[in-house]
Amino acid sequence: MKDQEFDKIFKDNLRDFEVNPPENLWEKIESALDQEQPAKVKKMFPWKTWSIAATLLLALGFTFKLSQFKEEQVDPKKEYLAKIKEEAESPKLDQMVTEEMEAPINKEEFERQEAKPNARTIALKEQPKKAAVITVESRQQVQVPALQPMDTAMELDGAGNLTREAEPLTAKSTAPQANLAVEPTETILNKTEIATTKPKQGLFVRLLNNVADNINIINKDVEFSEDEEGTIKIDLSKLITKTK
Amino acid sequence: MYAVCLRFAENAESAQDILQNGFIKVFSKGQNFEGKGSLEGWIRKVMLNSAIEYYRKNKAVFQTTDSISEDHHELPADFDMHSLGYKDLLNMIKELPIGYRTVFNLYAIEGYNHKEIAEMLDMSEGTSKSQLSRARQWLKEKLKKMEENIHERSRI
Repeated sequence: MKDQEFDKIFKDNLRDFEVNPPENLWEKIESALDQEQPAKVKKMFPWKTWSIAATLLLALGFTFKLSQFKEEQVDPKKEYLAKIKEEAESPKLDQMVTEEMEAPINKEEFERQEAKPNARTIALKEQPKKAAVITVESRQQVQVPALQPMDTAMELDGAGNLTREAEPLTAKSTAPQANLAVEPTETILNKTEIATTKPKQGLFVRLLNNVADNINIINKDVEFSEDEEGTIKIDLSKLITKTK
Repeated sequence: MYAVCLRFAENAESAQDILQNGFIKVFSKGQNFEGKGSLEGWIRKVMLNSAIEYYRKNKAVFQTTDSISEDHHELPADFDMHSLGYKDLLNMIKELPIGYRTVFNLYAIEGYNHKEIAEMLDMSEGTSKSQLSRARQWLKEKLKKMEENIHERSRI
């Protein structure tokens, strides 16, 4: 018998025959697979979490350190900037409150009543606030509020009593409309409007923007780019959410 | 696939080990299957690799059984191998020393040539050839003995 024939007999008989493996073998394979995969996961898991934690800590540390560094550098200007910030943000706050509307106006009236001799300066100070408030209110009434701040200022110079009665009326009439629109984009718009209408505020805002831009540049170095003109607080929160 | 593993192993336990390792590879490296050819063919190849792995692990252990008589065994011309069932043939293969068994399986049944087998098993082509011829000798010797036993039994 030739070798090929001999091989062929084996091949014909054995190549395609099938035998079912014992049933417990599949369970064995399953358990073996279960053992393999958790082992891999266990190896990977702490490594990943630690790396994430480390990057988080590093990012936070860097941003805090850098912001501190920046603040120290601009230290002589710090108080000045804080003032600007307060003044710039106060209209914002007022807008928030104007959703309930009557309280801030009463407050303003109170201030005016107490400080009659300084009526002019108060009026000047409050002009930006008013402008902001009214611009929010006047989303729908376009041209009227532009005139209103001027009117109030003028009237305050002369007679406080008359304007006191007049102002709440206009404010109340516009109050319900203000409820409709308090969105982030609009607040930014209001800021810019203030900047255009009042040169003094424009300078402050510009300074604020410069500071924010500087901070942004540092953030870019740490690879957290932003191009919003927000405050330092907003930057940090954004960073934290990003790193998360 | 279990049948394939049985051919490469000397007992059912080892065959199950080969099958298990093979299937673990199939499941854990299933993404390596590129869709070329049939899935069954791919799984068969994985099983063969698993069997070769088994061979590498165990060849040293079974080397002592590598001795074989040098006489040339030739089956009688009237020997009817076709009467043998797959079980007889399988049992014979199982009893082969691991080196012969692996080469014989790959060459005679799986259809690989000596060059491929030499690469698979890290041996020379010459070794593959000699292992194959020895496997055949060994099997023929076994068959002869089987026949003699049958004859003796029939005489009694």
